[in-house]
Amino acid sequence: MEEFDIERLKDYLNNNLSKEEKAALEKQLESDPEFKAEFEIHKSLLDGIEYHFDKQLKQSLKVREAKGKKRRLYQVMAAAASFLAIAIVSYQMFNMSLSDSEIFLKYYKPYYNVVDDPQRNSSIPRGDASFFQMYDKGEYSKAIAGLRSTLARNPNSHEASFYLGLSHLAADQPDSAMVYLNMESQQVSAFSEPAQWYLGLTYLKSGKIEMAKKVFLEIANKSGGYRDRAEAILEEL
Amino acid sequence: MESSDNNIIQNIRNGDYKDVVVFYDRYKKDFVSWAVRKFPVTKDDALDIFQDTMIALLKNIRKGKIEKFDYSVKNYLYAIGKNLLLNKVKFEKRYDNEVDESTIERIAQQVLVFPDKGEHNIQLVDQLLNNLGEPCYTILKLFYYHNYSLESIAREIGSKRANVARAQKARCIKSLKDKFLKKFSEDRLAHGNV
Repeated sequence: MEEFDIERLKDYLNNNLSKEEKAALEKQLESDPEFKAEFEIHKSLLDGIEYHFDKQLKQSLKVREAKGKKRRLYQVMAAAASFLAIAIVSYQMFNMSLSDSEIFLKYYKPYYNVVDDPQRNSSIPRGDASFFQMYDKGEYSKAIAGLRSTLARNPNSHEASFYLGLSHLAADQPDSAMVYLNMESQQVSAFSEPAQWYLGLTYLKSGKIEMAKKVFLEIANKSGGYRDRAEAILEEL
Repeated sequence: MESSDNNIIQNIRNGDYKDVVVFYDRYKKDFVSWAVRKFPVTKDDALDIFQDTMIALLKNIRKGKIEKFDYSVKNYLYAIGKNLLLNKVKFEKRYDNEVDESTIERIAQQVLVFPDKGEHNIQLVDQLLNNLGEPCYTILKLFYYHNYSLESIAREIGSKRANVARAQKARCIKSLKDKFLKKFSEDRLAHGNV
């Protein structure tokens, strides 16, 4: 049996097929039991993917709601709190222990280039490599320059914002990384989850341990691909 | 109706969810006030239902059930939310003249509400995704939840690389499928037919 066309199934479920295409698919479902079995399996996969990320989206809305309430409370307590925060952060920066650095190195891995990912020994000419490939190849300065111009032209590009944050982190520029990763982690986007994970690592790298713990705790308290890692890193911090 | 509401539909169908928070902030207060006034629910419950309603609205847009807003977005939210609230309280609605009931009924025939959460296969895939590593986790999210298309990737990065993205996508869905079939068989052996 030829490979199941999941894109056709996706179009069917999203009402993107023409009347004729839809009729043809439904006829095949009735007449071909093997096709029907594959249809049901792949439908379960797509339904499960949708359910998983719907849950995640709802969690993001809840977290945003909670942050909004907290923000209003903090505004009332701003003067005293900010003075205390400066003192705590300064203390943490002075006291970033070797063990926190080791934990960072243990858990930090460069993120995959999921935007375009040719084989590393690709024949694509060097001058034609995208900024995402530059990140992938460790050419962080070039990636940062290129992604900044991409973001300037297209301020809504989640990919550019996320990989710019990653590039700054990889280039040992955590303050700049924090800006982009923090922004992206609060978006409702495909990259918000990994952005939050790398934001936690960035705080860890900067010695902002309490902020790192807060981020990892948020990740650990919701379902998602980074929950196990967040739980593991919290045990070590 | 806000003039930008129909523009937001196209963004959502293209997988860009940044406008979700625009909708969320714009309609939350009215929805919660309406729900609390009309149904015997607490403010927290109403907020929870509003979040479910937003998710369901997105699903309807993704699946083409709502292609443009023929009525105000508030009516769509109330139509979907009403089903969810009735499910929650199993109680007859109180009379309320804030919205046109016939409009809500008309919309309610058209839209989907949240799927049955108890279905075993869906829960199984949900668990598998929690343990799926990168890059497949993000690739599946991009292509099958945010509906990124290979065409949009090709426009961004060139058609040669879009073929690479296509191959990655196929590998990832196969990996999830293999894990699903394995777990499904194990569950059947352990518990009988599910």
